[in-house]
Amino acid sequence: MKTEQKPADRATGNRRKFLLGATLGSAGAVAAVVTGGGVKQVLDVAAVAPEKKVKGYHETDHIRQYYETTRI
Amino acid sequence: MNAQVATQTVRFDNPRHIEPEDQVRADFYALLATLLYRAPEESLLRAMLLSAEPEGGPTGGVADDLAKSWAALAAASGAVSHDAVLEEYEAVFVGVGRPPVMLFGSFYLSGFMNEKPLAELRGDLMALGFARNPEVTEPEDHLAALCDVMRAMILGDVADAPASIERQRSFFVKHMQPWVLQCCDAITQSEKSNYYRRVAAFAKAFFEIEIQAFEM
Repeated sequence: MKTEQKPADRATGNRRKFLLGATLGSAGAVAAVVTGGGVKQVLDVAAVAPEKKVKGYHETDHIRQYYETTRI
Repeated sequence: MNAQVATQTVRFDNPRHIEPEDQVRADFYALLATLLYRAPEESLLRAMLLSAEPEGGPTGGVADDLAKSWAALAAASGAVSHDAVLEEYEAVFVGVGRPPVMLFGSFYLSGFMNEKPLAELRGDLMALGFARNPEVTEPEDHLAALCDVMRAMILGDVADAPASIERQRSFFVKHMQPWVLQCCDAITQSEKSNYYRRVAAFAKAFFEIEIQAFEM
């Protein structure tokens, strides 16, 4: 994937306001559950999602190392 | 480091700057992918129950829908065991022969599995730099997989920057929006679902918010 960094700061303020408002009563709880580890574990191990295509062993190690850091 | 700080700072060790609303979306997609991929473990059920403390006033409308569906899901997580949810998952999404409820987009889009929509999805995933994990047998249009693709697009990783909102929108509108609400309804209406009705209500409330946000 090419670098294409247009993060949300370029999205409208309306969008941000709407999303933060709409998730107000649940976002904190969901974040706590996700950072609790069980979710990441499933996503890392199960990998039902298509994985990033990795070209060459060097990058593979690099990415694996990165995934290691995501295990809590 | 106290627990509260940990909650706020222990994240994917992501070198990219992620806007708060996008981190929230990534968290929702991560949880949904997990719940839809397989029955949650006891530890996850427990975490969901314990996290369900009131967070102060939603402002009405979609926020109320989402907050209420979350509260119901969290409460239900305390009332079931992993074994019971596992049995339900098998009954609703696996079944004997044909599953009572399909979690695959191509079924809703074409009436069959492994049809043209799946082929288009594969092409788009390849263009986005995703490849299928060869060890996984489920087709890529499984709702859990699509939720995880959204999570990955929102967060990016070491090699790739987060996908732009335009790219996220284009992926969501093409591959999820046409069928995910219908899928949630199918789960809700299934005689065999119970815990997953709460999951579906929560998922639907979130998808409706995503749909609205992508229209902005």
